[in-house]
Amino acid sequence: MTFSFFIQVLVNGFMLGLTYVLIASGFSLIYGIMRLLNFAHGEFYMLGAFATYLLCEHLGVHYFTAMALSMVIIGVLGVLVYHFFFRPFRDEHDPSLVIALGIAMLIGGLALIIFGEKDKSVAPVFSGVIQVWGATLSRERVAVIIVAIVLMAALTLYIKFSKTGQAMRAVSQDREAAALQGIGVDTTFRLCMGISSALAGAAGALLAPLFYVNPFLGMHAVLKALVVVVIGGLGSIPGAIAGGLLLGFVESFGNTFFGDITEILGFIIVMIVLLFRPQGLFGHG
Amino acid sequence: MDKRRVVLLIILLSLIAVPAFTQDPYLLNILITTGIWTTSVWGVRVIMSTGQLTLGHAAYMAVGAYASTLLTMKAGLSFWLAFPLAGLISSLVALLIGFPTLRIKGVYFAIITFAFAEIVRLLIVHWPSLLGGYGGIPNVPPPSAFFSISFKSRIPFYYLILALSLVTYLVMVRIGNSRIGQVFSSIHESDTLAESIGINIMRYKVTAFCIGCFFAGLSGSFYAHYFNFTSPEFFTIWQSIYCLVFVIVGGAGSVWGPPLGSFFMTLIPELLRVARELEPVIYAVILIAVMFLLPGGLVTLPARLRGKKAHQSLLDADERRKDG
Amino acid sequence: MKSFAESFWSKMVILGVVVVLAIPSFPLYAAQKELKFGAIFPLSGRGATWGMAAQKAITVKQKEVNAKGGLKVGADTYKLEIIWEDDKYNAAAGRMAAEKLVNRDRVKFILGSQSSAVILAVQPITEPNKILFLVNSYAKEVLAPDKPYTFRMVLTSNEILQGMYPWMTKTYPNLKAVAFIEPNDASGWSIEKDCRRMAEQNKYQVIFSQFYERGTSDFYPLLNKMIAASPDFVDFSGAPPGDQALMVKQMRELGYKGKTFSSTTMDPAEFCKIAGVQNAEGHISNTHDLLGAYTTEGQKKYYDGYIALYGKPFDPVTPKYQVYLDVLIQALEKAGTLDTTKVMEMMEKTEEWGTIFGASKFGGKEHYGIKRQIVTPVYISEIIKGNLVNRGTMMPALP
Repeated sequence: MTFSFFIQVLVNGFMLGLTYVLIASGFSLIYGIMRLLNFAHGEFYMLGAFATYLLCEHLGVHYFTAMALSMVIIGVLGVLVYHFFFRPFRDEHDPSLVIALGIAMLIGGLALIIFGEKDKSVAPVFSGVIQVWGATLSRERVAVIIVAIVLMAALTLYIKFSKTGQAMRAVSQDREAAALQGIGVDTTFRLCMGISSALAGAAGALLAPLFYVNPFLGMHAVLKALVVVVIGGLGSIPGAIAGGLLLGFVESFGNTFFGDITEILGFIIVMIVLLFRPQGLFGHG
Repeated sequence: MDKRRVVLLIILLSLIAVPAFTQDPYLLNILITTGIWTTSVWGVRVIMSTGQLTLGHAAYMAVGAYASTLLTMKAGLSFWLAFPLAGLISSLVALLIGFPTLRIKGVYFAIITFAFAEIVRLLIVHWPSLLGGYGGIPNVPPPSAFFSISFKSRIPFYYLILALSLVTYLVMVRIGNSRIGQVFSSIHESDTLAESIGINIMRYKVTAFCIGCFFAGLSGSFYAHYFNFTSPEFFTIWQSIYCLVFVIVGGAGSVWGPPLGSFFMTLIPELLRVARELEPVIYAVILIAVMFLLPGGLVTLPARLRGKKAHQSLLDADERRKDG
Repeated sequence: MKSFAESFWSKMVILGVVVVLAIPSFPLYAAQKELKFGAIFPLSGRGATWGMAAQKAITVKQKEVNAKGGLKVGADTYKLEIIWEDDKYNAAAGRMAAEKLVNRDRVKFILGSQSSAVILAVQPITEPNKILFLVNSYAKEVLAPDKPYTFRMVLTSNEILQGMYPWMTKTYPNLKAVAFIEPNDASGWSIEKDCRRMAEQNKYQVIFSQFYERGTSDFYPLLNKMIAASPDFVDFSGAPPGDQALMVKQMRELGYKGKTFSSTTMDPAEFCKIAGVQNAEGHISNTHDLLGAYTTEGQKKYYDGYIALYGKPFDPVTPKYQVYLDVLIQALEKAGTLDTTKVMEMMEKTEEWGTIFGASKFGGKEHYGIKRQIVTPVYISEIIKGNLVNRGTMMPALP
């Protein structure tokens, strides 16, 4: 095993991890603030990819514009879904799970009927590869890494420093107290859904040219998101980042050195984390 | 009270009489499948009655199915021995898993059950020499003749699952009416409070979990011997989610929730076959609609028809759950 | 009198009009007798790509038969009706679908699934009821001596590699070391076993074999390890076409210079789009350019039928599924009866069938224990500058 091989394993883990972070951060945000396991989150990711596909390949929009537009579209969709479907069940745990599941099935089913079952692709903006300390990375991936880091940084700063971000944190800590302080819980939830869905849409847009686009992307994405936020801590953005990167590294090393038994590894880690530190690496009790 | 008993008796008698009116295997299959899920989902409900949400129930069905399959096919045991053993093995696994995990609550516990279910499925798949791998184990034998009633046609299966469902129902009602059921309820209400008055909540949670998984194991075993086939595909995360959906759609507040939910959600895909490619969409729409119109579950339909509001019927469901 | 005549004739006119309008409902002109087949395929969910391809091909053939006046079995002519059911690529759903087809619709012939688990779950109903079950999934266990009513209508990797691996040794004799990448599912495992056996038979050295989690799209970790083993060519037959294209793209990015190979069919346009035209260069697959070098009359007819029904672009994955209905129809016409046992015996007895791929037959007594596997020609093609180039064809031997 050469040095460059090892660096490649690390770089692969980092890349994989970042894709997970992108998808998981919105999921974590929704759980943290709304206490809702939004099964439909993966479908927003899938729709983001399709929005980008339609804008780029059918309307000839430039890729980065398409990505921005996708974020807006999916963000708005998220707010609408919240308003009509999640809001009535805001305080009811069991029905809200079933509703989220129902929405996920609905979106997935409609996407299959509208878009068809074939894999589609979005033409990549960058081509070629670069070498990083002996490890190879396509330029596409480098672009994804940069944008992902920017998005995560923006999100973290927003949550930490902006007024609405602080409102979100207040609501996540204690909904009633926040309401008593005059923070509009409903508005905060709307904002949260909007931002999370936009993030999912961004993830879809970013990863579309890298991989492929089909209506089945959602379920796999949301299951990975679940694993990530459990490890990192439900409701914590730094947790989603740490959890995502950790899972990426585990899978990269696992697949390289242990083979396909890695599939089980993720779930074993989930169980261990939940048994010994259920709030996750960064969660709050 | 008496009126309820009469209604129950009528329902039971009509169910017993079904094969006298129709021997249509398709119809019987729907009823049998409903029965399998009802038994399993009653198990989910008893676990939920202590405030624990399980997202991995299908794994315990899998344990029952594979245990029963191996006991009959490899160890040569009769189905009638393997069947209860399968239930016991499932509850044993539940005991082993429950002890370390049941102190975790809420959504975290749900995720643990989900992770464990995936681990079980992956273990089954990665042990192909014994457990058949992805292809599953074909040619699972039907139950051997029971007092000269052979299981060649579907009707004996129907009566068997009817009997199983009846037994499960009686157990569930007994639990609901007994002291244990009240303890479960109080733990569900507030386990810190329950603990403060001296209740060993872990003991009761584990008991509920084991009981729930016992019935999961039984239903899994029946599944395998009825379908003559067992496969990891029968017990995926989706099946676990469906178990939860069935009980919530039926109404977790009542012992009639699981059978109503199972029947309704088994019937809908059959009725929707005409919709062809629209079926997944319409299924989702129905699911969402039921949640909107009857958030307390299908059991609240009579109350709703009588004019109570949705929220009121939700509170009523809560009340009913406390009464068992 | 005049008015009587008028009213009499007006009544006759009215009666005449009514009679003419009622003609369609006269028994004499009643609708043809219908013959219903069942079809269980994945029409939603991940497997929909294959299920819908099968649906398209089978429908083209169905329309062709009905346009010619129907299927003639013995003294009767039937209009072909197919009842489509979705198995969602899941054994439980497939079983429920079969229940409905067998017990409610009472079909005697079922075309079905690409999922081995579905087929294995359905056979306990179809075999005892003597339902002729024409399947397509890769697992070996699907065909067995105790399941005489099940026929496999599409080649599996076992048969295909018998043609493709020897062709590889002949055409690219410098390739010695092979790597396998398959998804973790029933087909992936089945195919890997076949690939290994065939590799050994053809003196290839299997230096790498790994399965990946379904749903993976980033194969860098796996490919990094594979490339380090330095294979001469990589065979990923069990992976769905989209995954295959992604793998090709990513392994080229990582610097892999060897050959890429698959014994399955794919859509070259889609493949090149996802993988990148340059990356796909030289990819070998079992895809047949229907209008290319080895085309037949039947294939051209199928192509026209497909375009007439579905418009362009043509889906090159579909032709092999046409064989399902084609052979069944021939068997019914030959047997002259709807009795499934007689039809089954006819299918076993007949030594040669004419299909759009030319002469085909059933084989497999040695390998499967029963002669129920169809044997059609294997086509080999290579992607050159984004285009599919036919490179050869052969009939697998399947005693």
